[in-house]
Amino acid sequence: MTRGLVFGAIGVLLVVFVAVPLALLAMGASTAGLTLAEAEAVGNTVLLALGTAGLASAAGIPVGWVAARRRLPKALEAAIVLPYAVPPYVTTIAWILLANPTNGILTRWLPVDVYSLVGMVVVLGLHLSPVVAMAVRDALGRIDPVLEEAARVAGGGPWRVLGSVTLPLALPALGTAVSFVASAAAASFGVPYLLGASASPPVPVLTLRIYRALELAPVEGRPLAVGLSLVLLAVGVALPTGLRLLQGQRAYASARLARPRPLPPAGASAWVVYGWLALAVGLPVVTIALTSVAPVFGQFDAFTTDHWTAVLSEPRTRGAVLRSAVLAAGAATVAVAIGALLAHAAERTPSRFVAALVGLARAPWAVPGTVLALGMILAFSQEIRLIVAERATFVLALADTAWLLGIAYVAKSLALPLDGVRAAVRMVDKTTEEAARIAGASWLRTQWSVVLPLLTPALLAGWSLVFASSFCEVSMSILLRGPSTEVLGTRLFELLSYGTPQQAAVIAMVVVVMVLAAGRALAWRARWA
Amino acid sequence: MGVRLAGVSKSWGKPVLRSMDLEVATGELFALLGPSGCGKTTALRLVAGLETPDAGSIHVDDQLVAGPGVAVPPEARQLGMVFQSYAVWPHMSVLDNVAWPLRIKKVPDADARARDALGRVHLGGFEERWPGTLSGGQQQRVAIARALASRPRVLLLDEPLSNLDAGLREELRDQIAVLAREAGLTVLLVTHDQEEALSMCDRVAVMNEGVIQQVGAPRELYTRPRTRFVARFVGNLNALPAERRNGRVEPGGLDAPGPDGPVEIGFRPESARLGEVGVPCVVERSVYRGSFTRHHVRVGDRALLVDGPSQVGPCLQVQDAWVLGD
Repeated sequence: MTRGLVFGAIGVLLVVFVAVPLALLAMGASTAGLTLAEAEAVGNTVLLALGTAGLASAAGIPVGWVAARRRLPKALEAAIVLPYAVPPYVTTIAWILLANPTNGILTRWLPVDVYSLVGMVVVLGLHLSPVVAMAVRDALGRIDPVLEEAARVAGGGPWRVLGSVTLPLALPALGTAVSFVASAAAASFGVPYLLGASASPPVPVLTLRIYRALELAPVEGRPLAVGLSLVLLAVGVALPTGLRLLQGQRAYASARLARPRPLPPAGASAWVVYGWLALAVGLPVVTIALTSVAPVFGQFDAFTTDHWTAVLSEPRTRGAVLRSAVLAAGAATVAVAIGALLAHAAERTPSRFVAALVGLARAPWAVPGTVLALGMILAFSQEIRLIVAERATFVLALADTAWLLGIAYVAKSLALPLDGVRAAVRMVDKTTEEAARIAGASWLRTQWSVVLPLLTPALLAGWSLVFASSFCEVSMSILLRGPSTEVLGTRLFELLSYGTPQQAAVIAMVVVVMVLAAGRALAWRARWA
Repeated sequence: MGVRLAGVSKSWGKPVLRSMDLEVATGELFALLGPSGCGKTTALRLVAGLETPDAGSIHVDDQLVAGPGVAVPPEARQLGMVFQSYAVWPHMSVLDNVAWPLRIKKVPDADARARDALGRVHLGGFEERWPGTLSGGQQQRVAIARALASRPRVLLLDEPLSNLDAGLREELRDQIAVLAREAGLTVLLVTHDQEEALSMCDRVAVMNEGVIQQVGAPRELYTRPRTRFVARFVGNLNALPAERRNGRVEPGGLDAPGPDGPVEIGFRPESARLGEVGVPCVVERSVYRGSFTRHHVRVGDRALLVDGPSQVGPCLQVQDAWVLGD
């Protein structure tokens, strides 16, 4: 009974806050306002996606190979995820400080311009390269080394074995990762906003065009924004499909889990990982850290905490940081609760209803933030009055409230705890639950004493993932925030446009610290694990 | 000489092989038999070139492949190898699996030879199938065909039957032996299954803790094991106190020169009889096993096994025994 109510409520929430916005997007589909001029944005989006996928592969494949086949220090292995954990707009700020054409720290020696498509590709490619690296590492780890040894004994040299056995076996996983990277690059907003818009000539991409359409005409711009959104969604579908055709690989049953073999020490190959980490996070974070304590931009011979005290005592900034923290914590808690309930139901009591809820809950994750935010605008920019039995009136007035931001954060990242907990539930042998029941524990007692403790790592991991991504969120926030609901990400963008580089660097450091803290929580392991 | 190891040592933190010497004649079927962790698989991987020895030298077909300053890579050793986990490449068809080693060696009519090899392991008609759709036994046949097709100098078998069901194991065991003899191949088999080693091979080396304990023909190992470890590993061991006087050991009726005094004899369950003459004993329990009955017998404080007819007498007569070493 309670169970029915709980899942009924989840169903209503998912319909109102996920199905309705997405349906309104689909229903608003028209080619109104779409002109050939947008072809440039489509082209740039595709170039950005493919370029990013290429760079992420070029960097990620060697790193993944080293991580799978060489014994790396534990800390180095754990650090592989860092470039992905730090939001790309943070590293973008660092690269702006380093390589802007007017007063970039590097530009004095190196004539590079970060305000370009290439700059966007470099920042996003480095940011997303851990996705490829980790996919390659895991895929290689799953390949039984015996398959390669058999090929060696059969007469294949090391390179031929790599080409004929290792890479083909890792290809499906690599293809999935590269498709994800391409889609993520096409959906990215912060990096194109910071780099593409200021380029000369500007480099428009689809997410940026959607934002501009709404910025110029909040109401009249909607049909154009919807049209552009559908083009973006089409690109997001076309890219992975195209890549899969290119790959032309059939899936085959993967080999059994490989027996762990002692790996040779990393030696010089560890420097591949060190060098990549230095470029992708080390240099950017150090640049930001130094800038945030430098009295004069670009001169690092003196130290001051003035920027920190100024920024953190400034009411608007403090309000934004606090609002982001509260919203992120709330969103993480709600997302983990709903995700865990759905995950458990999907694994233990599957039904068509549960499957539909899971489908709805996972859908927003695949939708670019900009597009999801547009759906929210379409659905909730006006008050919704619901009159029940001609008596009670429910008013849903979400526009410009922090609630709408929180709802968007939950919707966007529900898939993270859902998938994570679901995998964990699958790992928990059902017999452990049955054994508890036979030992005399009630259903509730069993959930509390047996199931919950076993799922704790997955719950914590889901919580910190949602927290980190919501805390730093910008592509939805910039569209959904009201005049009085600034958040960390939008404040940072403003400081970057209207403040000093040092002020922006302070906020960027706050983000880095919070992300690292969330990463610590993610790395938590239960005693028995 | 098919394979020769001289003074080969290997350690990973702790020694796995201690100065191992081994000679396998060309065309011989030879088994390395021992419990898990005894170093037998390491020895095989050293021959294959998948590991390098810390000391000593390895010859294949009288060619030095590993030794001081020499390390021929696995692909240049012209070997065939069959692994416990099949190691059939899942992204290649059955035919591609078998033909791949031939193709990369630029063998003319590679595909025809691969088809022929598949036919010999009774997999004709499976050429276009994917390994994922085959049973374990079929996958292992693919692996055997792959190893045979390139006519290797030595066929290395690493626990090739351990993952298979009992019935299939026996069938494939005989097939491998027949195919290897037909082709005149030198075979080096690694196994922990004494029945596999004794039934397939011309000679067997029993290993323990990185050291070869005894090398010999199967019958010799079974009836005259030199150490207690070998005796226990290749069969059931009965040990009984005995007395040596003037080179004759009783009970057992053995002629074994040595100083007078107490010794111990060993014998197999089927090498004794329970009748009216011999050492007095107590039959504690008899278990019908089909073709014979296993009697659990006690002589003093010793528990023994005797296999034979179901009717028994009160005395134990030992018929084929040896003096037990350490």
